[in-house]
Amino acid sequence: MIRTTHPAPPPLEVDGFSVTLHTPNVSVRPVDRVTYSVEAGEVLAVVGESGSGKTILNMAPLDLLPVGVDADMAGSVRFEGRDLLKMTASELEAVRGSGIGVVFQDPLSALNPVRKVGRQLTEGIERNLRLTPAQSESRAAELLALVGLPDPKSRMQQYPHELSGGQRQRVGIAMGISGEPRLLIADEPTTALDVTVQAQIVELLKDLQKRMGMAIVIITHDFGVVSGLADKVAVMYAGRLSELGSVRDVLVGPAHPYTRGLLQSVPSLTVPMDTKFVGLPGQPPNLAHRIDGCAFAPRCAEVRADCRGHRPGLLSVPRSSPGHLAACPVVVNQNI
Amino acid sequence: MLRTILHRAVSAAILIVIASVFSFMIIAAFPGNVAALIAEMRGGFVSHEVVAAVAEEYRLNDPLVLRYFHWLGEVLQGNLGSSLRTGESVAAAMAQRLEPTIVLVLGGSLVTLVMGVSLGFAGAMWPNGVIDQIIRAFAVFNVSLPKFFLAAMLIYIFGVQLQMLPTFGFRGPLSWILPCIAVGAVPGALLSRLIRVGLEEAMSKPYVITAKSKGFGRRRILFRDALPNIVPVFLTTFGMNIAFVTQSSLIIEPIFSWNGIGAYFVEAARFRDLPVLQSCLLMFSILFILVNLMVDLIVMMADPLQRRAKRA
Repeated sequence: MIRTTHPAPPPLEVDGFSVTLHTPNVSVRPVDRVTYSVEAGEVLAVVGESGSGKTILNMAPLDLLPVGVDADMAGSVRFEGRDLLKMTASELEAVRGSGIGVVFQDPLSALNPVRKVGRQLTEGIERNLRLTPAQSESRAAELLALVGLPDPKSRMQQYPHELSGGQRQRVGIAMGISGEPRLLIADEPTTALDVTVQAQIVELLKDLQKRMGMAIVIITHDFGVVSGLADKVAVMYAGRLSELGSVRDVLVGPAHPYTRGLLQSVPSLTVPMDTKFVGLPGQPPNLAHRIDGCAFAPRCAEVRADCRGHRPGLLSVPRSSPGHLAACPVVVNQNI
Repeated sequence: MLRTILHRAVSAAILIVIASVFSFMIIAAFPGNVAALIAEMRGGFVSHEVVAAVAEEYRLNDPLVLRYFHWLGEVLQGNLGSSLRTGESVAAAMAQRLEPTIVLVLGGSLVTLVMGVSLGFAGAMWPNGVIDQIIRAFAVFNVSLPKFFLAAMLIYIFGVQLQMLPTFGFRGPLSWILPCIAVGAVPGALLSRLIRVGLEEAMSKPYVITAKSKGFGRRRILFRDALPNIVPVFLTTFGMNIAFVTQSSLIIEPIFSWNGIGAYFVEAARFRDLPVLQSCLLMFSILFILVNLMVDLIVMMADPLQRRAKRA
């Protein structure tokens, strides 16, 4: 008998994934045929403007969209080889917490206002690590110390409104990692914080990722976070993936005109004082309307006539690493 | 926190004083010649002399303010005067009739609580399911029903047709069942809707998504995350319900021939028995105000946002 050893499937494989949201009046498609994967121990940053579908892309497969949002999903999102979209409600329940942990964007509304922080933390630990209440208690204190909260024991006796924004975000991170998940999804974990705290949180996530060996998907629009934390970047525009590659390739040699525009519109402290700030002209398209060609065409400086005809697929960027892909035939062909 | 408690207690005290003034005024403001009325109720020949003697006895010729303080002094000593009709002490009569009313208020509140909580939770557990629809219809039906009609229906079904439960008099726990249901069903239906809607609203909050992300299911989230958030609203409504149930006793006690305070009040109103009316009004007002104060304080204790204000 021949025994073949299969390599373990990667933590996350997103393949041709689309989400359509239905409201009484319109249907929008905030995620449109997106494909990427995250390897074990890898950190992927999903970047893009507000409304580019970053959050829905990551929350919809876990059934963590706000109540009342009716989402149709197509394609596949495999967690360790199992398609999340085909799971039953109880199978998905088993994945959440212990398999995939989540850190939410707004730490104040994500915590229950009338329950003590400690209880909100220990209940997940009890469930996902199958510990006794007493063990969970000390584990929770360890976690809070790990995320850099001083005096964890007394913090646990407090209510969310008694903590500062940074403290709440740390509690949120502790909650996300409390089940020791193999994959952590962090939705803009630093947006609500001031810059010094942001840097601490990035360091913390990096440290935790090394210690616990988990894969991370971090949703952000902050390139500081991207360069500080991520291995790989996925750039989203209008629900589509416009560029994918290693942080080095994408930040140093951005191929897609949207990525270039985005990077250019990051204010810098190293340019002369009177340099004119260049933003991206125009507005993202209305996702309620069908977009036939490249979604970025109306704002693009490199636009050609055939850009509006059909949607460009992801192409390998020439003279870059093999995994560097961009959805722009114009630029890719220029560089050959 | 302490300041707020003190503040609430002082407002309650002021309200009680105002209520006492209004209860007192019922004699002063009663239409017609009160002295003649009292004399008439005592029977016999009503001459000018008799009326004058009654006016003297009840100090009706004294200035209003003086009379108020005199009356208040008596009340504080536990003397509520005597019934014009029977001549018995109002305080003693009320003490005698307290038991049925306490049973009705507590029993009715229990019915409200059990009905409101169980139906409210069932509705929230399976939203828009068959149970939820039935409960909703039942709630609307109950709320729009006059209390006496529900009582009459209960008597007809359980007393006359099924002959299961006594429908007459205050005679042991079995006879308590129908009146308590008659009193508690309407506020119970209201409470169930409130709990159902409150839980639904709480279940749409982001912290519920967080709880879900930890791997918990709907039932557990409903109890652990949504429930604590509706406690203040629940307590406030339940406190108001006690007032509602007490008020219902006026209608329900006579229907079931219970000799409670409610029936006493109705009787007094029918016979214009002013001291009894006055005393009942005062007691009901004080009960309402104290219950409201207690509910306010309990809500404050139960809500961590109020209990522990953010430290500066």
